[in-house]
Amino acid sequence: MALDLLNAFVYVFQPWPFFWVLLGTTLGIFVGAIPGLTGGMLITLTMPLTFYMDSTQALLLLVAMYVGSVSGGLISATLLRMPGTPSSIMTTFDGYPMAQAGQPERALALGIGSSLIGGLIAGVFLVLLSPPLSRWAMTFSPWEYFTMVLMAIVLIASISQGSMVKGLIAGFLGMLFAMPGLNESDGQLRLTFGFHELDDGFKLLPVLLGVFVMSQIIKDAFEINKAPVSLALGQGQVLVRLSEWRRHAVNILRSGVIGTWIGILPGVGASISSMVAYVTAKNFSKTPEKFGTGHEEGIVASEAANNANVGGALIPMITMGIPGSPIDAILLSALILHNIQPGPLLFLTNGDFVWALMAAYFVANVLMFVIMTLAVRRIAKLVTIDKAFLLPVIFVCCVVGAYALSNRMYDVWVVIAFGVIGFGLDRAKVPLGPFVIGFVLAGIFEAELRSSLQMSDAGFLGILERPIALTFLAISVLMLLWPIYQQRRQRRQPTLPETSP
Amino acid sequence: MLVERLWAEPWRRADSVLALALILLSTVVIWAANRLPPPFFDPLGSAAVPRFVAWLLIVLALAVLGRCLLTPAALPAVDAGRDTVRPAPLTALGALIASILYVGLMQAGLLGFAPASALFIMALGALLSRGERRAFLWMIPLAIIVGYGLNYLLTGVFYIDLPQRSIFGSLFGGGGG
Repeated sequence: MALDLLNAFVYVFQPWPFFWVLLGTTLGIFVGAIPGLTGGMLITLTMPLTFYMDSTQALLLLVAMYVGSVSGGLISATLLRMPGTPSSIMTTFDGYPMAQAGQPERALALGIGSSLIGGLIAGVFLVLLSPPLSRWAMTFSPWEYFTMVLMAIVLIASISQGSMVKGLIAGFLGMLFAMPGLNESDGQLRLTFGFHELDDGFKLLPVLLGVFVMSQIIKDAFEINKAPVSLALGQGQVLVRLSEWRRHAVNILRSGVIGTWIGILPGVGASISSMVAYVTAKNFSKTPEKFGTGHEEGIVASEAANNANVGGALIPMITMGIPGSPIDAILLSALILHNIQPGPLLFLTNGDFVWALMAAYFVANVLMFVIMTLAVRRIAKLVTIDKAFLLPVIFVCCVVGAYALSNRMYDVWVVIAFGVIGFGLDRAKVPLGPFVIGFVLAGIFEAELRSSLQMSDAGFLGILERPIALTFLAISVLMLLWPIYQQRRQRRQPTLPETSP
Repeated sequence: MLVERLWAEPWRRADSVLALALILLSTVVIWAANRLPPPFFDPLGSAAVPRFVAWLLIVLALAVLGRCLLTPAALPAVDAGRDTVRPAPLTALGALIASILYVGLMQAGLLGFAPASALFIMALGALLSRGERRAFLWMIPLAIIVGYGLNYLLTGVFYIDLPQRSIFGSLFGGGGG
């Protein structure tokens, strides 16, 4: 195994493979940093351009783009509170307040360093533990997936700043907006109200662009009289000393493992990894009240986990042919287009290719760290220019992103509609993160519940036969009850008069 | 009395509107779900999950309404000076209208992507820079470079089929915009 990996590194450091990894990482970082452009879009757009390339080099380029785009998202999340990629949502919670508080370099340095270490942790798992871990995940039944999605929704609601009720509202509202369209199980159109454009439902990218970008544009216009907060980077080092990483060691290791593990679970992307790692870090923290106010632990957890997710998500793709995230689904189609059959036999039939992919993943992570540390000021200029210059250009990018999805203006109207909805929710102090998570997970939630009920003769009681699913369910209930218990306990203690709810 | 209470403070107004909007939306969803045929392939059917989520939202909306009604009034000093920034709802509305016009003009085939984007960037930029002349002068080259540059990059390099039909192109003998 070690020799295979060594040979793969020798291959990746040859001029052309290295050039493609460098190009992919750089493009990924730039695209990831620009809100409205995602790694998925970049990889999809690049895929046709790789048809004439060597298969291995083509996949190296795409994997490097994947690594770069997930990392690049932290720049706009930190400097603009607009996650460049959905996986950076959690970074906005602490990265942006920290940057606002005058420490943008430190926020970015923590994010970049955590991304590297998280990525490398996942790389180790990718090389050493992928076969046994993926075999274990394969024993999951639909009950496990269903309860895991439920747990994710409760988790995201419980981490929302302010009211948990509003967090739950956001999550379930997101789920509701994912319902229109064709129900694949029985071919029934539902909640389309006669609009044929809705037959396909609302697509993820326009909804994300609307909720996170368009709503921010409206909000910025609404608050245009506010003196602009300078988030420009100073002359401070975008590096955190090695000795300082020691106090984050446990958090970063835990988040890296969480990110890798959730990455292995099919269909659950980097957003959930960073979310679960963030909540876990908050729960283990001695200062949980600081989370959401610019706390270092929050940035570290989120960024280590979302980069680790990339490596984790590659494991089921390589070993079982199952995508670990939406971007892995695109990579999977790229494999098939290049006549490489993914699945358990891949190690036997295309061993060199698999090891090269793993080596490229490691190299892309290191290159990401070097490029972002050296060039973050230049990349940051994309997000620190005057909002009057930035917002119109961002909206044009949104239009392109949404339109290019299916070459139809309907998706652009969806962006605008969800922008208005997002702005309204924000005004009512309803968090937008759970809304998007609910929207993303609704399909998996319903499909797994349906499969569970079809497989079980005992209906909902079938869950009693699944200990892992029961554990997930118990965690969900605990997460739901914990804030209520905490609130009651706080009420019993004498406090200062409340100012407002 | 009830309405007065719900409308008394900004947070109560926002929460009341949210709760009522949720109840309305959920009612429409339940009504539409009830019109779907019963399940015939599987135990769940198409209506169960939307109906369940809609009912959950109604319960949560009622909880929000209940909190609006039952929370004691805040002391007058609390909200004073809480938000010193004067909001600009007209600018926000202007930004929204500019976006709708931009997309609408392209969809109607009146302008192609390049000129529409250039005009949109200039218009929204001018609105957001609040008529600041210096900023607007910078906006013009930016708008042209982004509008036409993106158009070239996306259609020429990435082969994305962006809207190109323009009334001006047709008027002056070309098809493109």
